[in-house]
Amino acid sequence: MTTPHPVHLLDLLRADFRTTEAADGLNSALQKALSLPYRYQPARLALAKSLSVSIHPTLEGDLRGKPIKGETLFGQEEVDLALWVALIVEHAERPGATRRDIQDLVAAHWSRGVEALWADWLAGGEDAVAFFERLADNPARALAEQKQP
Amino acid sequence: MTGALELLSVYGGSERVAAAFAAHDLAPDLARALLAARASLFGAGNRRRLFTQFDAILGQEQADGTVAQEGVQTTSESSPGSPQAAQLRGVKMRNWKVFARAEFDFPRLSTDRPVCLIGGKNGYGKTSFLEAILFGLYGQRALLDVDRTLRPDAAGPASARATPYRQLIERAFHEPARARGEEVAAVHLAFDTSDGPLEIERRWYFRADGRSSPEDEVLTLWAGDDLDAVPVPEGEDVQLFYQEEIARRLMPASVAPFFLFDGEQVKRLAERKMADQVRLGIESVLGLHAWRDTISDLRDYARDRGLSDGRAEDYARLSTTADTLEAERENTMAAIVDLEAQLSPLRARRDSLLADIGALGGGTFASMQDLHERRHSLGQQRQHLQAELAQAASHAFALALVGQPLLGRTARTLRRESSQAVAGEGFSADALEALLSAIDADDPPLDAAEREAVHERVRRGWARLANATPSEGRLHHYLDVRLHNRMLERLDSAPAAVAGIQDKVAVLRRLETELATLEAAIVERGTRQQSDQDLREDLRTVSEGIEALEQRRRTLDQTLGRLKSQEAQIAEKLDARRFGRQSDEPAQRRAEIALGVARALEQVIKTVTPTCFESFALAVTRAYKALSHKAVVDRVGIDPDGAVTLVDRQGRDVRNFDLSAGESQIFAMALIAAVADTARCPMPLVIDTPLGRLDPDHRERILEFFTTQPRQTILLSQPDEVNGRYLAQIQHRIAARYRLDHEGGAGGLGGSVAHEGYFPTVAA
Repeated sequence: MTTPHPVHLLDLLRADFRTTEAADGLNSALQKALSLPYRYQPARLALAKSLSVSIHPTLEGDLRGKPIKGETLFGQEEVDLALWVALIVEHAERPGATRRDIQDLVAAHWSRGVEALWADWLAGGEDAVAFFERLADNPARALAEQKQP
Repeated sequence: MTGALELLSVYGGSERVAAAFAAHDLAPDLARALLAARASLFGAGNRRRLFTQFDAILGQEQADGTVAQEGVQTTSESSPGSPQAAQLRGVKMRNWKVFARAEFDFPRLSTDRPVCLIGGKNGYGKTSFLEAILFGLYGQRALLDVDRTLRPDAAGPASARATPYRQLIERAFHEPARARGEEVAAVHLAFDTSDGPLEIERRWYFRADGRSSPEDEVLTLWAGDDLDAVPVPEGEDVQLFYQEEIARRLMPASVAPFFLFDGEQVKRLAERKMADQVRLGIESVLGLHAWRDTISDLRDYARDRGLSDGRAEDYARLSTTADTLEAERENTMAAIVDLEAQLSPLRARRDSLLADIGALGGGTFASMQDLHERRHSLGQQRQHLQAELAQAASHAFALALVGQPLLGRTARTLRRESSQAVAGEGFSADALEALLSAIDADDPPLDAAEREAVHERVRRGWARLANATPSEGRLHHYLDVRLHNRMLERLDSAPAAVAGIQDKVAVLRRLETELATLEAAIVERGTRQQSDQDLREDLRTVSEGIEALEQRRRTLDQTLGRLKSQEAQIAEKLDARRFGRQSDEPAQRRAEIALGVARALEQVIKTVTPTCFESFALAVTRAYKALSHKAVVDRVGIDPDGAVTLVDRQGRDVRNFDLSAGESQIFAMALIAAVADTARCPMPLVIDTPLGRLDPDHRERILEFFTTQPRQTILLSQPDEVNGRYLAQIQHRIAARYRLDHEGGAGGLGGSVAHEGYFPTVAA
């Protein structure tokens, strides 16, 4: 019996990340709606959106979405990758997570996040500026609250 | 006819009339003299005497341009103003129609009681009374003027119409008197005029066979407080002089039908076509036929005085040419007026278009281009900003989006694990060896066994300490601790990215607003550009229309100029003949002058007539409104042909709908009232059977109207006509009452007599 190896960052750089086919469809739709040139852009926003929710995401469905390399999804610099992985691990409170664990967590966050973003898009009247305005609204409010004594 | 010039001045405006005379080089005194001559010799059988008078007048004109006075009674001397106000004080009739002898005395006019009421059944003498006044005043002329007004079909040479008057007079001779062998019928009329009392008597003498001739008629006038016979200038025909005096002191025969009339006469007026009725009314009140007759007489005179055929033809041809030229000139001027009427709205349209185009502003194209360039530039800015936003959003901002709780927690974990890692690094093999060497070097030195035992114990303890901080125990053990500091920097600075995104969003918002405004401006400018094109197209069309009309206007102006010049040449030729410069022989020169004067008179009448119709229309309007119970008519319009329009407030001619027989009659009454009202001589009104077949409401109005005039009004009524409520209506305005009764003689040879009083009053 082999014990699973803890994750190594270098593995994640080369690894493929996917989400469900449905979430991937929303990702493409959002990319088009916001006139974003790359698939990773809505995906990264989706991860962030999902990570802002403290409850752990659950994943339903198979992962048949198109893959994105880790270095693309999280960024070319090692520190970018390290940050996103750290946030995901921190959120999951899971020490000794394996590469597979990280991939599953990304798939779940991506899926949950992109659904939430699509809902925001629709709620904002399908207007890109309004979308970003709404998106910035929550962290801005949180910041403001934090600065209050 | 005396007074015709004054009448013309009253209606046509004295200044306008004077200007018309001046424009045609015609002295008013000359016209007056000719009219007076013709009036004074009217009905004198042949026109020898008239032409002799013309000889004198025109001879003087020919000699020095002044009007001959000798032998001609001109009104300018004896009639300083208009006819005098007058009232009838008495009527006496002897052997006149149904009356063997009758006397009526009427009280002095008091304006609150202007009415004298005479009642009589049919055949008892109402019409005899009316005709006594009419024929007493005017004799044969009354019949002719009445004829002319109401029976134009009776037109013909004056001499041919003399016979009916004789027959009428012979029939008017009271039959019982004839049977008794009497020879005289007489009417005596007493008037108060503003010049004092005036009494007029006309007697007709009849021969044994009952015939009468012009020589058997005698007119006498007495005037002044002592009622002296009016003196006749030496050499003057007494009868004709007196006849003129009546016209001068009272009223001309031509307007008499509008003061002395009966219901039948009104009915005849009402049944005529309106245009004829009105034209005849106005011509009558103006005595226009007197002018026309004079013109005709002047032409006859010219022929009679032997103007050679050649010269007459020459003159006639020139006259015809002048008439043709004048008609052409008038047509041309009418065409110019018409053109101007078309041009005026077109010019207004052109001005309005120019103003509109000006308001759109120039340089539309350049502005449009600027707007498009600005839109392009803003569009690019937006695209750029959107790209920046997307880039920022998927990097620093994405991190911020994770939210402070997780970011903060992660940072705390990393910091803790960093210090643990630093602590773990202290238990290295080198550090152990350094510690052991330091123990060996301490005093006192240890023996080998002791040293071995101490080393063993230190190594075990070291190992325990080192094992107490394993990297596997950290949450983020997969991270190289050297990354921690950079990660913490990112985590700490992440929230600042929110403000950056918000700034970009704000800029994008402004850009979008600006773009929307710009888009609206472009659309609006586009519309205006289209408007501008449309306006310019309209302007082009309108300008072309104006140009075409102005071209026609220039042509017409040239035609007008040519016509005027030709007219001037013809006028010069006509003047040369008129003032006798063509003929050597005096008689022929006078004849030429006569033709010229006739022509000038024609022109004067033509010039003044429209104004006369206008002022007359105003008077008819006033009267019609007072008389008609239908308040629909706002204005009566009368054009120079006598065509009448009864215009309502909406400007429609109510005659296009319907005018009842009663309304026609009211119109006739209004016409009569207008003549009586407009004529500046407050003469008594004598109305026989005034209410005729009017409906009750109109009866009240007619009565009201005619009994409240500031003039004496004598009503001749049937027993059931002015009675009951109608009598009650005017009761308080009646100054005198008479009743006509019949006193029968044997064999139906009775006659009517007048008694003071009236019919028994029937219930109102």
